Amino acid sequence: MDKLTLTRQNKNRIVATLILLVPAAIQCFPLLYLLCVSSKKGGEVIQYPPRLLPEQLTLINYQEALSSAPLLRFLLNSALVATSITFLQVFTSVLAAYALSRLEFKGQRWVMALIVGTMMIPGEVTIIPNYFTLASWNWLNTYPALILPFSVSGFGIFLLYQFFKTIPKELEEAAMLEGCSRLRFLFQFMVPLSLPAITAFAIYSFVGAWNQYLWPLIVTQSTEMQTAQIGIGMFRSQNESMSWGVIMAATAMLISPTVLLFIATQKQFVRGITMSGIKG
Amino acid sequence: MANVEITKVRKCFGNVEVLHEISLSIQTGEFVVLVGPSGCGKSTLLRMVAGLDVPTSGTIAIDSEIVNSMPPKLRGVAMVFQNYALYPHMTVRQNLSFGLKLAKVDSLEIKKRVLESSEILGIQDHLDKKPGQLSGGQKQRVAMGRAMVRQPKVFLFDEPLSNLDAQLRVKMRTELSLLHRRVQATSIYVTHDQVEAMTLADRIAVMYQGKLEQVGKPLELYQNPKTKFVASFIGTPSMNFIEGEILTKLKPPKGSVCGGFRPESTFLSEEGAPAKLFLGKGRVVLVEPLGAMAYVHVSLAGQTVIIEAKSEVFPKNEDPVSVWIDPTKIFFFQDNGNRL
Ligand SMILES: Nc1ncnc2c1ncn2[C@@H]1O[C@H](COP(=O)(O)OP(=O)(O)O)[C@@H](O)[C@H]1O
Ligand SMILES: [Mg+2]
Repeated sequence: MDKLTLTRQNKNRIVATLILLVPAAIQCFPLLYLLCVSSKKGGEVIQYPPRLLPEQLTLINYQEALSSAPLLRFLLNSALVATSITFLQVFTSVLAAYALSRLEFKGQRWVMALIVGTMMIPGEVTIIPNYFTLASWNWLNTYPALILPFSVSGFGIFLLYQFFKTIPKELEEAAMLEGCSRLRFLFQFMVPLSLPAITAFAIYSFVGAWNQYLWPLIVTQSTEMQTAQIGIGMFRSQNESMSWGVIMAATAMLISPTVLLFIATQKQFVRGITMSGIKG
Repeated sequence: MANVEITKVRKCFGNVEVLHEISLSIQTGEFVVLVGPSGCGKSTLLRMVAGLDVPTSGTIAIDSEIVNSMPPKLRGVAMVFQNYALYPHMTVRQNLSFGLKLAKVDSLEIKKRVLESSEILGIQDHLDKKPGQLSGGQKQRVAMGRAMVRQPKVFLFDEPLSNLDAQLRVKMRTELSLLHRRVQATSIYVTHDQVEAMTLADRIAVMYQGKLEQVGKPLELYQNPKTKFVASFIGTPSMNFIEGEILTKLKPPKGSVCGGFRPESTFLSEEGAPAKLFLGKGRVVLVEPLGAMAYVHVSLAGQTVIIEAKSEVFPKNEDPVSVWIDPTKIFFFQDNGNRL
């Protein structure tokens, strides 16, 4: 390029980008380090002085991690549990938010207050009663134990409630006059029109479910039932003799789905959070 | 096509009664306009005909069948909303055909009706656009098209033109009038704009504070208002009113009365029409010239009177003037607002 002209706007943009690069680098460094360590040969990890980049790339740590623990099983468990929780939470939130925002019934405001109230209660409080309930049903160490306690989300209901309120009432009335039932309106109108909010909530819900640690740790006993997060913990605590490279390789594999999910959906995620309403 | 019979309908929201025993019958093919100031209960009445609200008491019958507990979709009514209420995620074509599909109308028939009505309304080039890509006037047409394709027994309009700019509003008003002449469908049209009411209606029902004040043909309301409210609401500029007492009648009504006279029966000179009544001397406070005539606001004995002046030369502000009225065009109203 022979002539490089910078408009004021471009300059501002570059400055902003440079400033944002700093926190981005701080955020990304551990991930990068993880990837580097996981692809270093045996002794290189504890070399002094330490080096960031491996001398020679290798996948041997990944092989070893895969052979020393049922990582695939952990990943599948996590995927199953997180997908089910996400689906259930979205489904129940859509139904509840519709009822709260569009139907008129006695005690509506109390129900709403109660739901919002559940957001104030830390999840840990419910662990013990939930554990005993599931134990008394003999449900420990099963998928339902991992999934069902999280089938409803107060946050999800509240978020979609707020969003549904912005959809004009006349839209539903017009559809009703044309013979549209409430359920059809919900799934053919409300849901598509709220897709940004629903997508954002689904991602939030999925990541939350994927990252659960304490609850799966408590209710699962056998490796067939354990999830990726437990798997990572297991690597650290049980295999003290195991090399850091292998642990990092296992970790990289176990966190990759959420990272990929976020990269794939970040546009919708941001849109869902910043979008406030719908114009007629 | 059907008639609509509203009988002694009341509506309460909680403890507030917003409609008081309204009775109104609408003939088959008639275009009736409900007009009144904002908040007088027009939309509520319309929504009860549509089935979106339930009357607290009284009955509504469509096609001689009482529909109080009939769900909206079975009533055979179509409604056009003020904010259009188009389905934003569907194309115009889908908007138009949605109701027909739900009613399981044959798909060839749907195509035919969509094409027909979109041609009548001049939106055939926009069938594959989404509502967000249309202008206000186009959206309005789609909203009307959506009502038309269903070939309903009764059309309901809730202030359909009030979101449009003044010019487009006048244009759409004319189109709507022509459309009605062509389709001849029973229509109930709600507006707060008396000009819209006068130009569109076969009959006008004037509402005020939850009551029907008067029902009649447009000119009837103008020439023969039954209450002070109707007299003041119909016609622009509004009728002039002057408070006073009747002294010479044999049995004068108790309390004060109010005399009303329209700007066009008020004059700035004695010439012209016969037997004019001298009202008094006043001072010009404002002149609104409109070309061939002007509205002259005159302050007279502490009240402002508007006069339609047709002379070549209009008075100027602060000019002293004398005001005459045509005594045959004075309306007298009692304290309670009823005509004497
Ligand atoms: N859903 C409702 N709940 C309570 N009050 C209402 C409701 N709908 C309308 N109203 C009241 O009823 C009166 C008439 O309203 P509306 O029919 O919308 O008037 P208009 O259409 O003539 O402007 C208003 O005072 C309004 O506040
Ligand atoms: Mg209204």
